[in-house]
Amino acid sequence: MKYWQKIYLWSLSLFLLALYAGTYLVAAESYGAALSAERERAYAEQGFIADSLSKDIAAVRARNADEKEAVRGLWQSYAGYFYAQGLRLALRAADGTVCSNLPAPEGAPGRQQGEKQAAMLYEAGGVPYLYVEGNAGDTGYSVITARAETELVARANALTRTLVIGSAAIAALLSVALVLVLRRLTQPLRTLTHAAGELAAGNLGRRVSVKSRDETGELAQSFNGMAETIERQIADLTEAAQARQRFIDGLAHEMRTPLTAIHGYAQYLAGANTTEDERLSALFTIEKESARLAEVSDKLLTLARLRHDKPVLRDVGLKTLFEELLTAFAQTAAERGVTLHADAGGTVWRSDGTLLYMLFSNLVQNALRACRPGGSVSLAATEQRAVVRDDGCGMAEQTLLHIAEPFYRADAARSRREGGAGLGLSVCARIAERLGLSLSFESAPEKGTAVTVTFLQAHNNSAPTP
Amino acid sequence: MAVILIVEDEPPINELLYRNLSLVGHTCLRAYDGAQALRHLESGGVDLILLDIMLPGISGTELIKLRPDPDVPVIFLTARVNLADRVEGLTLGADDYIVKPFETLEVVARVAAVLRRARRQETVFTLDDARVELASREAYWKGEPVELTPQEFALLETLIRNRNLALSREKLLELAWGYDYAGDTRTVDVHIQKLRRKLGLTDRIKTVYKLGYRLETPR
Repeated sequence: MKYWQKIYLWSLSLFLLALYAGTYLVAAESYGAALSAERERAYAEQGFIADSLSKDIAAVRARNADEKEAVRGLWQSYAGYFYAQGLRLALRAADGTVCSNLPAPEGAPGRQQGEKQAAMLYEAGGVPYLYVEGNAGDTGYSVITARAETELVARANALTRTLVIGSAAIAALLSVALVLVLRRLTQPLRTLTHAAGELAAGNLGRRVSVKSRDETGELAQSFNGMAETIERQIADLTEAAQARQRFIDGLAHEMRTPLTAIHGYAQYLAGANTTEDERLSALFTIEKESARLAEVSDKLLTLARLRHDKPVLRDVGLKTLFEELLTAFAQTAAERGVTLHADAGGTVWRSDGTLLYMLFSNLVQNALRACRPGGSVSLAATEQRAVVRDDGCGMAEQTLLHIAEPFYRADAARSRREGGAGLGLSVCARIAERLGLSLSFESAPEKGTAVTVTFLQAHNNSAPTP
Repeated sequence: MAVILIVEDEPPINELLYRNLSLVGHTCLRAYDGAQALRHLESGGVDLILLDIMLPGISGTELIKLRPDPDVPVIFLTARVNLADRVEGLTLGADDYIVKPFETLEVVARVAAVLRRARRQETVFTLDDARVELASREAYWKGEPVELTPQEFALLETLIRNRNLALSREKLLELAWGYDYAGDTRTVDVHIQKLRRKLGLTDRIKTVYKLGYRLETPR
């Protein structure tokens, strides 16, 4: 059973209970009041008659006439007179003889000892009569009156009927109105249920718009917050999975090509009808391709190590670091006919010397590879930033967006010829992240490239302020 | 002798294909990107294209639509093992595909098969005093017809198609007579002896130590 249906049944039955109890009380009260007014009147009437009768009986007794006959005559005249007014009358002597025109003589109310008057409602021949009994003075007679109360009962019945019909109408109206109100009030719940179902089915963009500021409104807000979080986390996970897949695809390609070559040349050496020169060049290719594999595996290890190892921070003089780089790359630069110079002044960074060296050496290597003979590569550093600049082939804007992705190559053929693994800038990006540096690239085709390494002092809470 | 255009951007792989296909008697043209390949195709005379799918510039799948002569058969070279890519390659009109890393003998065999379907295979092979008519399956020694059993001819043809490459006895068995041939590797030795004697190729059909046999042609 639905929630709104439960509320509906409970509130409707409670309401009906209250309504009918109220109706019953009203009907009973009003009937009781009418009846007691009627009884008062009947008491007064009976009192008056009893009073008159007692005086007449006293007079009869004073005349010493035949009391029985005289009393009968009295009753006849009284009964005749009051009958015309709708009142029946009975007179009972102490010895039990009765003169009566009552509809049912037995129906006289029994009086308690010492009670002056007593009344009861008694039905005779389908008509309700109100009987009242009382003593006629101290004559020893008791006087019983009975008046037909058709009107009182009819009024009470009419009232009861009106109340029953009215409350039935109210109940019907309420049962309809309650359905409408409850449906309306629980509408947000249905909306939420539906939305949650859609969310569960995978429509992560589903949101609900519930304007009310009650509990359903709060629930809707929480729901939207939850959906937001789920959607964001799923998107993050998907992105991470895709990045991982791209990495694996890149790695597979990067390993398959040299492996194909090594395998193929080994077969060629083993089985083909070859000359000495061909055998030598095949061997060189195998050597070069295995070096490529080694390069990929080195870079992968570096990436993995960077993920776990904590940088060791100390004061690194960039002048010394640049000089080491110049020495390391002097031969390569000379072979390519590229001039290489550095200017660091007295710049000192609080950072990890080994990682910084690795970072700059990757950047210098890229710069050298970009240059044609006659080109130049320069290194410059200040307290805030260091720039590695070359005047080589540069990169298009589109290329710049992807350069830090693993295995992405601006110029695949050239990069492989140079022995690159396509991981250099991935390593740089990882180092920069570990050291709290930021890398930015500025490049245009045929204009050269400038890589700016910005030093952000407050990156690491373990780094003491200088 | 067929003219084969090798389109592959990885220099060592391109070189490897070039060397092996040249060894078995094909004339090879080489291209490292799509534009280069198109220039070769426009000059005409290409019998078959070995085409890498992932090329810088014009990709292999684009190039196959751009080739001037759609009758030139194409074999795709692909590093991807994804089935969808293979299906795409074949629906684009490639005749076959080879997945990297590949076996040299597999490349030679697939090239031979596609050339046979396209009827662009060499039909006559001569070496020293021997002449083999591959189409009519006849062999001559010093101009005289030589009687060869079907098994011997199949073995000879396999050696010719893979000339200058060493073939193991198992490989010879498989390529010449099929997997289900009920002989063992000594049968190969016996037939090789017969071929050497009948065609005077004793010095040309070399025994390669630990490997098998190789038919050597002057280079």
